[in-house]
Amino acid sequence: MSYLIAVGSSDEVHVDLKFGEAEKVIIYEVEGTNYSKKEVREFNIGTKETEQTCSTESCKSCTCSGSGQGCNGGSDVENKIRLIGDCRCVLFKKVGFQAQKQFERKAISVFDIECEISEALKKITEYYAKTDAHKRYTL
Amino acid sequence: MAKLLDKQRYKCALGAMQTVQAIDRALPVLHSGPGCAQKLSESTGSSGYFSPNIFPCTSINEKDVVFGGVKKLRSTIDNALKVVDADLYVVLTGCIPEIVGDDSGEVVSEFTDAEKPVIYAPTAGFKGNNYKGHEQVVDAIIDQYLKKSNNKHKGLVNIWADVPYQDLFWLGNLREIENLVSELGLTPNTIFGYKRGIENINKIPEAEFNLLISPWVGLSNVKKMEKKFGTPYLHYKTLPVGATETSKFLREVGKFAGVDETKVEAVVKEHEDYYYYLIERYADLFLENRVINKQFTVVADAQYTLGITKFLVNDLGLVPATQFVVDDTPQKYRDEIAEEFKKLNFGIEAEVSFETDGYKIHEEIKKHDYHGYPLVLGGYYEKEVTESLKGNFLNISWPVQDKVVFDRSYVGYTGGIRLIEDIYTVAVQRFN
Ligand code: SF4
Repeated sequence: MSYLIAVGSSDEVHVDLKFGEAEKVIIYEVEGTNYSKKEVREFNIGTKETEQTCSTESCKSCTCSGSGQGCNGGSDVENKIRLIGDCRCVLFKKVGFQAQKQFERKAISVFDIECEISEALKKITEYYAKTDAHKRYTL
Repeated sequence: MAKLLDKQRYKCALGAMQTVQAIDRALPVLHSGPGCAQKLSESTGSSGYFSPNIFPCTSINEKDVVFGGVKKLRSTIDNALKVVDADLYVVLTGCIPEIVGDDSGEVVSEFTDAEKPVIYAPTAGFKGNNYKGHEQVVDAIIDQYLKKSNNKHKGLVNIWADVPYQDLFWLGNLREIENLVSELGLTPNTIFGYKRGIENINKIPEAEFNLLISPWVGLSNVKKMEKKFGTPYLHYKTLPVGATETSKFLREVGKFAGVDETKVEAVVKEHEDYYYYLIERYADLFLENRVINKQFTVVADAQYTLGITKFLVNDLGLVPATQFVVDDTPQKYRDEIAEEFKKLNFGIEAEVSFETDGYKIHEEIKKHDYHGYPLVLGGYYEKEVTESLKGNFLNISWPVQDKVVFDRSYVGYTGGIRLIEDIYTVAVQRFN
């Protein structure tokens, strides 16, 4: 079964963007330990519509405390996560605590690392291939 | 096929963080998942200067499994040294870093020049239980911290006994053994508990000999010290509880240390006189045969099962049913320990079963004919089964849930009296 990995990168070589600053992500598709670039997804943050929603009282980031609905983080975070919600894991230089929790809720693994994309994808795909087959994984 | 283990009586090797905690001002630094310490830290009496809630931990997660956790370990040790004021930092590794292959030893070696000593003990759960973990911690101190000393201190004796916290009575027991050893004119040196710590650790290589009181835990440590420091050791297998065993213990230690026999006998006499004075005063209670049970079973680790079995047979004249040793004693020690159960007074021999499965132990207890109500000294797990047999139960081994112990002890002459008090307190309640 193939799966998707989202990567925050400015040059398509390194994982070098923080989740918060990324305006787009590169999506890789993985089959076994083979991966290929599938597409680039734009986050479209800070558009007029989002800003407006955010400034109203219904903004979830403003009402989460005590709303009894659980915190969904800021709308930006939520929208961004929704856009990559079909990925198995995400790779960014840094992911804030709030966002990490949101990813956790969706059972998406977060790898906050700084290295070359190829190195990261090699390690992660090997890790998933082994654990999916219930084999022991070592570094 | 996977095996189910019911009512296990020990923790994983990382449980040795309690051994570290028992050393005054020593801090465990955990390289493990965040849940490990949480899971291993439920014993009472474990708060204090450092409690498990503040043990620095790398809290490794999936990312560290894939990319390695050494960076986090390095920064955790680094920051622990900066913000936690301890005398000794002991890095303990859990399963995850050891399975994925983090070289924790290498990271720790980078701290050789740190202001305070940092050492490392591999304590992954899959390597064994906390009895083995305890040995690993002591090994780490010997291997990585201590150096051979030419300055031997006449009469200085390192004492090694219980596994702290796993044994609820560890503190009181150690103090009582220290007292007994001092009465022989020797200078005891222990590293666990109040005001011991690093200073006493530093004295270890200067000791004249190591005294190990345990059927098997710690034997590899004293052997290592013999090799590294040239320190001979006396291995006394039975925890001395009550007069018979304690007098034997004093005589053996005295002989090994070259203490004048008349001095040893004087110490023995003074204690025995008082001990038997107390026993005599309560002879009516002991002779009241409906009070106490005829046969007993101990369910505990090797040290308690052996120590208490000898006490109940030799001092109280009770008859042993099967005794259970639940610490997963390594195979190589079992025959020798089983032999010890045959060395009882009055030609009595006790059968011993090295069994870790609580269900099987309970089935055995239910099957056995105790010729009346059984007396069971064991973990809290045995309470229900003993009650169902209308027996008398005393919680003396892990898990302990129905008593709070600060520094009480079951060791020595006084310890024997305490144990008699506890057993008879339970027994007389039946009739009142
Ligand atoms: S067995 Fe392993 S994972 Fe479990 S608590 Fe012990 S060290 Fe942690």
